[in-house]
Amino acid sequence: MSRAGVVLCRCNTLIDSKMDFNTIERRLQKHKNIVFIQRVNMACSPAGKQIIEEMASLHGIDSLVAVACSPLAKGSVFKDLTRKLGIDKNMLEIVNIREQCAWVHEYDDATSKGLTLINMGINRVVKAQPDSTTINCAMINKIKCDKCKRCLEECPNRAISINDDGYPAVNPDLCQRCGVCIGGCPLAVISLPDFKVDEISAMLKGASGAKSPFIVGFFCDFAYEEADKMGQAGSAYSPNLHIIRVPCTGAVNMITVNDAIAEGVDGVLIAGCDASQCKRKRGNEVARYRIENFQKSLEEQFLEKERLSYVSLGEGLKEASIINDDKCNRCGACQQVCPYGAIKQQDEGKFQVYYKACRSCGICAAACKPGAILVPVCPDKKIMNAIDAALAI
Amino acid sequence: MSQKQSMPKSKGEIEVIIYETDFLIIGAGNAGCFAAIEAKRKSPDVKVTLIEKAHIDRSGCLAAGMDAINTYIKKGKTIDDFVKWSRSQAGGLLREDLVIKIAENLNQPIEEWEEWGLPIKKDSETGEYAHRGKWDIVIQGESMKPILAEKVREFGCQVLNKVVATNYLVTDGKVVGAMGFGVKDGKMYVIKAKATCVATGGAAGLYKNYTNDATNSHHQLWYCPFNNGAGYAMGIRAGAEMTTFEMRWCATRTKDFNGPIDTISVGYGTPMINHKEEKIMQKRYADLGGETAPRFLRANAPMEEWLEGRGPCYVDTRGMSDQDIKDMKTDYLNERPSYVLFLAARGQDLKEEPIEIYGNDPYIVGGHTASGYWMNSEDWSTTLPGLFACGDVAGGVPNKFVGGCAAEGILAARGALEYISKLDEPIDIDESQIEAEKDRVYAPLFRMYAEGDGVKPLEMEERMQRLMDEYAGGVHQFFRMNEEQLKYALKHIKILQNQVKYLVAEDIFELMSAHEVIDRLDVAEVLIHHLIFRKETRWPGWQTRTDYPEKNDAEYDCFVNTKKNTETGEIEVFKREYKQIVPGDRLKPN
Amino acid sequence: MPPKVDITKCDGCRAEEEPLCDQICPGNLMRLNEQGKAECRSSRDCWDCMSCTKICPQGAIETRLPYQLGYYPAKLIPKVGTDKIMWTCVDINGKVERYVIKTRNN
Repeated sequence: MSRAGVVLCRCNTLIDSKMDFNTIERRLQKHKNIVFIQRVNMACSPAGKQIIEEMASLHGIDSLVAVACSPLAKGSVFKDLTRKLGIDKNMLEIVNIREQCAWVHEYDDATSKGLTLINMGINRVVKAQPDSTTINCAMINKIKCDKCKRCLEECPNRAISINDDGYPAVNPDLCQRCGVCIGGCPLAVISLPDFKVDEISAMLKGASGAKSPFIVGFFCDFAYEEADKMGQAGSAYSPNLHIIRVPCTGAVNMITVNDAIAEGVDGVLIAGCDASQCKRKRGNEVARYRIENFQKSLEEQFLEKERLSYVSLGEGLKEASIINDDKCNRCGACQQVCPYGAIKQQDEGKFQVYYKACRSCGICAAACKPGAILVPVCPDKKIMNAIDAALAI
Repeated sequence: MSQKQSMPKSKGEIEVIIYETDFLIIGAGNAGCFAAIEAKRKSPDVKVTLIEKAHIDRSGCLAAGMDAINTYIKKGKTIDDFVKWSRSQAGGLLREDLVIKIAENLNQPIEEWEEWGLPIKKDSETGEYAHRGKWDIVIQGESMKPILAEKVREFGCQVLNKVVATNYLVTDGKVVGAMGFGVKDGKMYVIKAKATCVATGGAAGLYKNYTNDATNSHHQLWYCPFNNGAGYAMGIRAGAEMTTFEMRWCATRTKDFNGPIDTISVGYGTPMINHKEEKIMQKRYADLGGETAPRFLRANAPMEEWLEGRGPCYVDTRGMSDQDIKDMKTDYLNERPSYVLFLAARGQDLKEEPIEIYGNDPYIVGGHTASGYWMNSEDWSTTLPGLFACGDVAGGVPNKFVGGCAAEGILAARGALEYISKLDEPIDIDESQIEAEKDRVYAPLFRMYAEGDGVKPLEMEERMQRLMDEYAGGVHQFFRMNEEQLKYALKHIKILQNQVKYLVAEDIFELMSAHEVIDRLDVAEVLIHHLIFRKETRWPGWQTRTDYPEKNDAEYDCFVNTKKNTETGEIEVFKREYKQIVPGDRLKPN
Repeated sequence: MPPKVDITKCDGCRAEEEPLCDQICPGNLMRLNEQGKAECRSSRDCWDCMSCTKICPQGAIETRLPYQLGYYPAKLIPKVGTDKIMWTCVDINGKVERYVIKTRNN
C-alpha cells in the first residue's frame, strides 16, 4: 500500500481564495493511500518547504502529491524537495490547480474539479513504481514487446534500431523523449521516465464519480504551456476539461483512449501544435492519423466520433499581443524589434499583430513609447500579483 | 510471396537450425508455461526452451481466454473429496496416484496467476474466491494467457514461436530433444535437450463436426482446432505407452456454434430441457444424480433426447434475471467472445428464447478425460526415458482442466529437473535420424515441386473425418459404434496412412496442414484400437458400443493401454490394473 | 469467412514481414498479401478466437461469423485498454450492448 503525502499550497491566498480547501481536505480524508494532508501558505518558500519536510519524515511517505501551481512554474522546487527527502523521482506528482483550475473557473467548479485533479494525481503516484535507473530516454519492456518494429518506423529522430536479439533498442543520444513511439506501440510497452501508459490509465480512473460530461485533455508540452497562459490571463474555459500533460500529441496511445472511453470519460481532447508546426517534428501528423482511424472505430461502435478530437492551440485559442490604435503613434518601432516578424503595417497605416506568428515575448511592448501594446501573458494585474507573492516570502 | 520464395525445393536447400538446451518444453500453452516457470525458478541455471507452433501470447486452448477455474480446492474441502468427485464424474476410472499429487498442487498456480495479474472474483463477505459450483471459481481470464507468457519471458525462458515439433530425437531409447520445422520460415529445427517435456494439446479434428459446410465453418469447434494431437502422435511413433484413448470427450455444447455450456448450465442453475419442456436430467437420470449426474451422462443426455424424437433440447435461460444474463455474456466474452456475436447474429433474446444445445464432435483430450501418455506418478515421466508430459497429452487424470494442467506442468518440471541433475554424460545424438526426419517432413513440398500432383492435406483430412464420424462413433451417429464399423474404420485409416506419401504442399502452411493430418491419422489408429478392445459400454456417449451395450466390470474395470511396436509397426493393446487408494464407492462423489 | 480486414485501415503493420495479426493467430492463418495488407489465408480454418481483432492496432479487423451459422450484419467490436476491454455488440436488429470487463489486476 502506497503512503502518499498531500501538500495543498495556498499560494498566499491566490489559490484558496478561489476554491474551497476545506471541502477538498474533508473529501480526501477517507482516501486509503493518503497518510497526511498538509496545507501550506507557500510551498515554494523556505518556511513552506520546512513544513513539508517535517511532515514527510514524521509520516514516512513514499510518494508526494504537490497540489499547487503549474509544474512549469515551480516544478523544480518540488523535484529538489523530493530528492532531498529521498523520495523516488517517479513518486512525485504535481497537480496544477492554480493556472488550470483556481484561476480559470468559478469557485464551486474549481473546488470540484480541483478534487478530481487531486484524485487523478493520487492515482498516478499509487500506480507509479520507483525507478532507480538513470536512463533518460524511451525504454522498451522486452518482456511484453513482440518486435513488430512500428516504433522504428515512427520515431521522428531515427533513434530506434534493431538489436542483435531482434528487439528494438533506443539510442539515448538521438532520443528526444517526444514519446511518439509510446503513442504508436500496439502493445503499449514503451515508456519514458516521466510518462508511462499505465500511470495515465490509472489517472483516468479518477473520472468515475466526477461531474459529467467528463472531458480529458491530453495536452502536449507546448499546448500545456498555452493552457497555463490562459490561466494567467484569466481566460475561462469549461471546468469539465481535465488536462493531462503529455510530451507530444504523438505520445498519446489509442489504448489510453480506449481506457478513457471504457472508464466512462465522455470525451477526449488532444491538443497540440498547428499542423506542420509540430515542435517534435511529426508527432501531430501521426496523432491525426491515429485519431482519424479511432474516430472511424467510434462510429462503428455506435459512438459519436467527436468524442475524440484534436485541437491545435494556435488555431483558435492562442492569444497574441494587441496594439491599441488609439494610443499608437505609428513610429514603427514594434515592427522593427519583433523577432518573429509578426507585426505588419496595414494599408491604412495601422500596425497589427499577426497572432499566428506572435510568441507574446513582450519585446514590442517594451519598445513602444506610448504604451500602446498589451501582452496578454503578463497583464499588469498579474505582474502585481506576482510582486505581492514575492513580497510575502 | 517472400515465404514462397524461401521455400526449399530440394533437400540441400533446407536450412537446419540446431539448438542445445537443458530442458525442452514442446508446446507453450498453459501447462508448458507453468513447467517452464517452475523449472526456471527451481533451478535458474537450467536453460529452458519452449517451442510453440503459434505464438505463446495466444496459443492453444486459452487463446480467447477463460471464464472459470473448475478445479480449485476451497476451504473445507479435502484432497480425498476432490479425488472422489473426479472419480465419480469419470465413471470410476482414473489414476488415483496421479490425481492425489495434482490435487496437492491445484491451488498454487491459480493463486500465482492472480498475483501476476489475473482478476479473480472475490466473495465480498468472506474475501475468498467467489464460487460458482462445487469446485469452480469465477475468473476474468481474457488476458490470462498473455499474463502467463509475460512471466515465462520474465523468468528468462527461451521461446521459439512458430516452430512445430514433428518427432522426438531418440538415442539408445532415451528422448534427447525434438525435431520440427518453422511454420513461417520453413527451416528445420533440431533442439537437443537433456530432458524433454511434451505439453501440447489434445486432438481435435479427428471427427467431422456437424457445422462443417462446404465453404465455411470447418473449425467451428469447441476445442481448439489447432490442437491436432501432435504430442500424442510423436509419442505413438516413438513407442510410448498410451492409455484410455477410448474415453473420448464428447459434451453438450451450444447448437451450431459448439460453444461451452457446462459451466454456464451448472453456474447459473439453468436446467436442460427438451421440446416438451421436460427437465431432462431430473426426468430421466434422477437415479444417477439428476442435475449432478456424471459428466458423460450430462453430455449424452440431449443427444439421447434427439434420437428419441424429443429434440431440440435447450438450456432454459428464460427464467434468468437481467443481471444473470449480463454476467453470463460477460463469462462468454472472457472465454469464447464470438458466442456473444453468435447470439447477436441470431437476434436472440435469452429471456424469450433459450440456448439450444447439442453434442459435439468427439475429441481426445487428456485435460477432460483420461486419454494420453501412461504416466509415472513419482516423477511425471512417460514410459520413454527422458520424456515427461503434462496437460492435455498426459493421461490418467480426467477433469484436470486449466488448473490441473497448470499443476501438472509444475510436477513435470520437478521430475525433469531431478532427471537432469542425475545425468552425467553429454547428449550423444545419432545424426541419421535428423536426415530421415528431413526426408519425411519435407516430402509433401518436394512432391509438389517434382510431380505437381497428389493429395491435398485438406482432402485427406476430410476423408479421415467422415470415416471416423460414420464408423467410429461420431456426432452424426449419436456416438454409436460396433465392432464391424470400427474394423472398417481401421482398415481405411491404414489405407490413408499408406497414402501419406502422396500428400502435396504448395507452401509452408500446407506443409503444416499435411503434418497435422499425418499426426491425426496416427492418433486415430490408436483410438480405434482402444475402442475395439473395450467390448462393453462404460461411458454412454463417450464410448457407446451397440454390440456390447452393458458395462462389464469383470473384464474391463481396468485401464486399456496401447503401445506401438517400433519394430513391426503394430499397435499392441493390453490391460493395466486399477489401483484404488481413496476408499469408497468409485461411482459416488461422497 | 471470419476475420475480415478493412484494407483502408490496415497498414500492414508498416509492411513488416509478419504483421501482428499474423504473429498472434493461433492457427497461423494470417499473412500479408502483395499489396502489403493483412489477409486470412483460409477463412474456413478460423476458430473465431478474435485474437487478431483484439491485437490489430488500427482496429482494421472484424470477426464475422460464417453466414451459415449466423445472420448479417451482427458485429462484436473489442477495444483493448491497458487493464480492461470494452466490447460493443450490435445484433441483426440494431440493438447495441456494451460490456466493460477487467482483464488485469492493477
